[in-house]
This record gives sequence, C-alpha cells and structure tokens, in this order.
Amino acid sequence: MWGKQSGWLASLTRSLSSAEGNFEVKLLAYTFTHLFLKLITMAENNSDKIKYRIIRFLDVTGFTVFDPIVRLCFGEEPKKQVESIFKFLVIPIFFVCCCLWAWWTIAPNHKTKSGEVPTPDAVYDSAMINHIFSERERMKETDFLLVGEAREATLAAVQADIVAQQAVLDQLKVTLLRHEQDYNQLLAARLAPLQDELDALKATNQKTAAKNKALVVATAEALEAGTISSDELLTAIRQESSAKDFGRAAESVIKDQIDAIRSDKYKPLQEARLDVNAVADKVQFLNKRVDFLSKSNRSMKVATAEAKLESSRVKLSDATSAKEALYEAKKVVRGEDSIERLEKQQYASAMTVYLQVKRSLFTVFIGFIVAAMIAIPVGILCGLSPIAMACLTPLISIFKPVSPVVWLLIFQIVVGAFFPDPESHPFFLFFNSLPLIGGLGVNPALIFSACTVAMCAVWPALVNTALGVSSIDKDHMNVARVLRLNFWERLTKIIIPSAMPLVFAGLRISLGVGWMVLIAAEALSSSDGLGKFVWDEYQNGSSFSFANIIYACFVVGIIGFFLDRMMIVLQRFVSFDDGKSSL
Amino acid sequence: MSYLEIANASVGFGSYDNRTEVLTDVTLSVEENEFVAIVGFSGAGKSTLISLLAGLIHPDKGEIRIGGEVIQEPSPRLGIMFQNYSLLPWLSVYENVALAVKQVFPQFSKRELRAHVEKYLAMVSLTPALNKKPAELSGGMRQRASLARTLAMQPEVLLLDEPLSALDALTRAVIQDEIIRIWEDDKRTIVMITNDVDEAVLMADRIVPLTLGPRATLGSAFPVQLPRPRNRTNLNTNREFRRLRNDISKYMVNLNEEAKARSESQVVVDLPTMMPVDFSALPLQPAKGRRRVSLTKALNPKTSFFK
Repeated sequence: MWGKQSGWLASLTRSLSSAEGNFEVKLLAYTFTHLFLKLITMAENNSDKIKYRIIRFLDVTGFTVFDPIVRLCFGEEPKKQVESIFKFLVIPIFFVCCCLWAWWTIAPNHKTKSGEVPTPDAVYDSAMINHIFSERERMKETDFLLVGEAREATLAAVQADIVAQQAVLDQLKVTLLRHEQDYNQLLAARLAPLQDELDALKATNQKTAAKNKALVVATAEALEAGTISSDELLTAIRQESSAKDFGRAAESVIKDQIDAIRSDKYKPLQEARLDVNAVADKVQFLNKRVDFLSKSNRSMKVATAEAKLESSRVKLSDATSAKEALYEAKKVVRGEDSIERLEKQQYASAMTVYLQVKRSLFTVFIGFIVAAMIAIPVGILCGLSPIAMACLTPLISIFKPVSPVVWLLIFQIVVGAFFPDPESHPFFLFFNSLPLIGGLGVNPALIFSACTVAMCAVWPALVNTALGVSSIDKDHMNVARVLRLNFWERLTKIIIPSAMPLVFAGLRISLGVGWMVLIAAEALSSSDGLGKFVWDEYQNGSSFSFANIIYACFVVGIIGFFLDRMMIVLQRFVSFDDGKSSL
Repeated sequence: MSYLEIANASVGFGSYDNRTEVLTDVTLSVEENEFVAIVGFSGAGKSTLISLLAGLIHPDKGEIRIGGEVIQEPSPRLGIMFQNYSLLPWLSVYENVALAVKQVFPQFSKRELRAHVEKYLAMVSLTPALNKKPAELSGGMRQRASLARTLAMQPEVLLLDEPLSALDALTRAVIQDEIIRIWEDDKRTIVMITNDVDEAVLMADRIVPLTLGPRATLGSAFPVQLPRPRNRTNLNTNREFRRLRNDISKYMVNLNEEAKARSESQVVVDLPTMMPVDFSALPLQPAKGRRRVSLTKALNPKTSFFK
C-alpha cells in the first residue's frame, strides 16, 4: 500500500543527491526525506502488527465474519476481500432484510384478540417508549435529590418548558379538531348513499314480508275452505321464511360495507391524534417533574418537616399544661424520627426495562455460579471414581429432564420455609446493605429464581466435567506414572488441565440453559426481571403490550447471544487443540 | 549378571478363556552402557516389550530386573520415550521438560532448573521453540522435545519406542545423528525399538530380532562389530555392514514366510470320535510332533499333489 509512495520518495532522494546546490540545503532535504521514509516503513511494519492484532481479536471473539473488512482497510488483496464481503456479509444482510420484509407484510394480515401482530416499526416504537420511560425515571430521580440553587434553576427551566409545550399543545388541538371535522364530513359523504340504499332495502323487505304474511294467511284460509292441499300451505310458509332470509342477507351485505368504511383509518386524523398524545404526554411528565422539584423533593420535604418540628418545639417551650406539653413533646420526637428517615430516603423508581435486565443478569449469574460450584467438584469426583459415577447416574438421569417450572414450585415451598419473615431476615438485610447489589432489591423471589436456574444448569456442566475427567488420554496418564506424580499433583497438573475444554463447553451450555430457564422462572414467580416484564405486559393488555412482548423477545435473544459469546471467548482461552467452537 | 535383564517374561491380554499371548518366554540381557536395538514387524509386541522394561505393565510370568532389583513400577530412572511423543498439549515445550525435571530434581532452585532445561533443549537443537506449545511444532520438533524431556530426567536407562518411525527420512537422519552424538557424549544404556534394519545397524551395538506375534519371542542376537564413529555415507560400501544387513533382513523375511506358511496350513480338522482301544500289546504310538508334521504334509497340496 505504501509501496508507491516509498518508491517516489526514493527517486526524490536520488534526484536530490545528484542535484546541484549548496551543501546545507541538500543535507537538510536529504535528512528530511530519510526521516519520512523511516516513518513510512515503521508505519508499514506497525500497520501489519495492528492489522494482525485486530484480526486475532476478531478470531478470539468469534466475529470472523468481519475479517475481510479489516483486511480491505489495510489494503490486502482487495478483490478477494470484496468477494468475501459480498458472499458472507452482503448476502446474509440481504437475507435478514428479506425476513424483515416478510414480517412486515404478513403481520398486519393476522388479526388477533390483542390487536394486530406488530410490524417491526411498532416493535421499534415500543423499544423507544421503554427507553424514554427509563430516561424519565432517571430524570425524576435526579430531580428528587436536587438541592438548593440547582433545584431552583431546574424548576424555573421546567416551568418555562411547560408554558412553551402548552402553547404547542393548544395549536395541535386546533388542528386535531379541524381534522376531526374533515373526517366526519368525509365519512358522512361516503356513508350517505349506502345508508339511503340500506333504508330503501329495509322498506322493500318490510313490504315483501307483509305481502308474504298476507299470502300465508290467505293460503291457510283456503286450506280451511278445502280448496288447496296442505302441501301448498307448507310451500307458502317456506317461501315466506326464505324470502325473509334473503332480505336479511342483502341487508347485512350493505351493513358490512358500511362497517368497512367506518373502520377505514383516516391517516391525517390518526397522525394528529398521535401528535396531540405525544405532546400531552410530555406536558404531563413536565408537571410531574415540577412536583418532584417542589413538593416531593427530598430537601423540600425535609425543610417542611423541620419547620413543623420548629413550631412544635416552640409550642413545647410555651406549653402551659402537662397534657399540652406531653402532646407537643411526642410530636417533637416523632418529627425528629421522620426527618432522620426522610434524609435517607431514596427515590422509589418504577421498574424500567434496563433495571429488569440488570436484575435478570444478576439472578442468572448467581444461579450459574452456584451451579458451577456444585457441578465441577462433583463432576471431577464422578470422573475419577467409577463407583461415584454409578451412584450418581440414577439421580442425574431422573432429575435432568425435569422442567424448570416444577423446580420453581418446589423451591418456592422448600426454600420459602427458610425465610418465614423475609423483611427482617438477616440474610436479606445483609445483602440489601451491600453497595452495588442492594439497589437491585434482593428478595425471596430472586432466591427462588436463582435456585431454579442453578438446579437446571447444573446437569450439563456436571455431565461434561465427568466426561472430561474420565476420558483422559492414556498417554498422559503414562507420563504421570513415569514421573511418579502423587494423587494431588496428578489431579492438578494433568487431569484438570486436560479436562478444561470439556468443562468449559459444559459451562457454556449451562449458561445458555440457565438464561432460558430464568425467563420462565421469573414469569411465574413474579421476581422482577425480563420474565416478569413479559408476564406483566401479557396480563396488561394495553395497546403496546404485544409489541413490548416481541421487543422483550429480542432483548432476551441479544443478551443470550452476548453471554454465549463471552463463554466462547473463555473457552478459547483454555482450549489447547485449536478446535473450532460450534455456532 | 547384566545390568538390565528380562528373565523369561510372558505377557498376555484378554480374559481367561479369550487370551492373546503377546510375548512368550522373552529373555534379554543388556549390559551397562550398551546400545541394543530390537527390530521387528509391526504388531509383534514391540511396544509391549518396552512397556515391560519401563514397568508400565507387569509380566504374567518371569521378571524384569535392573541392577538385580525387580522393577515394580515406572520411575524416572527408566526414561521411556513414547511412540506418539506424549507431550502435554497445554504446556509449552519448556514447561513440559521442566515438569519432568522438577519431579526428578526437586531440590533445584529456579535458576538451576532453567539452566538445566535450557541445556537439554539446546542439546536437541530446540532452543528457538522454547515457549511454543506442542500443537505449534512439527513432528520432528515434537520428537526432539520428547527426547529432551526424557534426557533431562537423566535416567539410567533410555527406552526408545520407535522414536523415528513417524518422521520423514531426512529428519530421521538428523535425529539419528543427534541420538548417537548424545549417547557418545554421555554414555548410558539404551534400548531402542525400530523397524528399520539400516537404522539399527547404524546405531546399535547389538541387534535382537523380535519374532512375529502372537506369542512373540526374542531371537538370537546379531552383534554389530562396526567401529565407531560410523559414517552413514560410506557405510554402504562397508562389507561388514552389508553382510549384517542382509543377514538380519533375511532372518526377518524368513520369519515372515514361516508365519505365513503356518497360518495358511493351519486347518482345523474334526477328528472322528473314537473309543480308546487297548493297544497295550502294540508298539508305542509315534511322537505327537511327528503325527502333526505328517498331517500337515498330507494336507499340503504341494506334497500330496506331487506324491
């Protein structure tokens, strides 16, 4: 890549050295070009090093599909890289876009109880809504904690914003009214002819019905008179009922047409409604912010409580009767207690998606680490001793296929007995006082979910560890015998390093299983997390819930993907046979 | 009493009624600092023989003795170099050799250990590959690393189990020279198993052939009187070398043919059920061996056809 430049510089150097001119200028020019050449060669060598470092990073993390892009940037064999990029990046991206397009076209055609199946843009909108919601919660939290001048300044800014937004809202409402009127006019215009047709049809049908009824009565009288047989009476009755049905069918055709026209969406009106809703939503939020900055602000609440305390103290000092003194003294003490509590109060944030993701990850890691701590030692024991393997095989075989739902219910009962009074149990008090973890709210539901995850994730790790330990190359064992290693050295220097790849393969499967199990367990045990998010959305039934559920599906999938990648990287670090890890 | 000896050892595998006798009645005496080569066909039981010598398996009958004591279990005194190198793949070459050295010389300090390992790696010319893992090395380099590990243990006896059979001819020549050089620098007892007669004649003091399995045994030894140092290039013109090589090759080929003949003519014949008759008045029955010989002769198409 730099070859041409270096060649040009080389020729320049040569021409310089052969040119006439005074010595100092030539020397300066010479050293300059030399330094420049050196810089370029250094860049060349370093650029190679950087390139291979990037490529190795991509290889270790398993993103080898981006390899040709890196190589293209560094100018290596452009034609081959472009081919690679086309085959392995462009075509797959095109395929994914085709799937998205298929989703986009098929979704609106399927009408369910909970509304339409959302299209990708509806899912994206719900993602944005969740994001905005969590942003707002954060703003509310900062507002809650603001003190002094900053608070005053923010309050003023928010109030000014409210005024501006209100003006916009009024304007939009005017537009909305206009659109509504237009829509009503349009609707009336379209419906009028159909309505007339319907009325006319109804009139005709009524007339026919009356005529047929008279005919039937006449036929019945004729039968009584004996001029016609009973068959004719029956035919007349049948004719009457079939005419009625026919009339009703014709009416319903027109009614369906009318309904279809009514349910047609008038786009400008829809958009106007959405705009109004958006701004109204914003105004409502700003009002809430004002509230958090003035009345519900922590410092303000503390200030009002202190004022009350002061007045109580004054009243206490001015007290004349014992009863009044006692009353005021009690108020003073209560006031001091409440001030102490208020100062430590944190903002009780509503659950946002990101908090739930954090909680889910926390739970799955606890479950996974517990599972690994059980599976690896037991697995090593099973691998080393065939008797232990024979003892544990029936347990493993029977408990491996059990569904996580069953484990969750069992654990809720069994583990719940340990915590009869969860609020004041020292276990939870300890965990909730830890700095990072306390914010997530450790409660029994989290313990149940973590236990379920552990119970289901222990089996793949256990089986793989036992397999890895028991299938050590005979040659390695011979080396251990020749070198006369004792049991502990054999275990740590030969058996465990040799079994590491399989152990990590098992851990990777465990983490994947654990993540899947966790979402199900959270949905059922209402432990805060992504599972609970999905379950709440399902029970909620708001207009966004279906899109939210699909959004949650994607979030779960993407997080699971990154967890898996992380385990692949760890697996690569301990594997020594350069084996290709699976997809 | 020789330094290393196998006294009438027999080894077999399998269950009681389905036994395969691999080695039968094997006797070998190796003097101290002698280079013995054992040649044999593949599958004859060469690796079993070396495992016996190393103490990795126990003979069913007979004993293996080193310096008079029976070998009970493997130890670093009997340095065995496996046929498929047996380097631990998660350790680098340096760490592999260091593991062995730490076991044999636990009293070494860190610096001494490093010096010792580097000395032996330099001996096999593997210093540039000090920190590489076995997966990153070629076959020849892995073999040399394995040799370095075995030598670094400073064993009294070196047992080489077909060390060069997995290499190409050129690398083989290089490592043969290295083994000879190391042995000449620092003489110790070596028992080498090989299937290449030329290699055996070039390197060894004594060549012992292993007959074909099953039930293989050691044939009579061929002493190699060629003076050392032996030059590969003009060895081909050496009469003694050619005689030895032809003798051994002929012997091995004969073994092969006998075995083939034996297997071809081994027919299972159902003898008719007979009640024993009292022939005490008649002369003695012919010897068992002769009856079998006459049976094979009778059934061999060549003899019976051209009667």
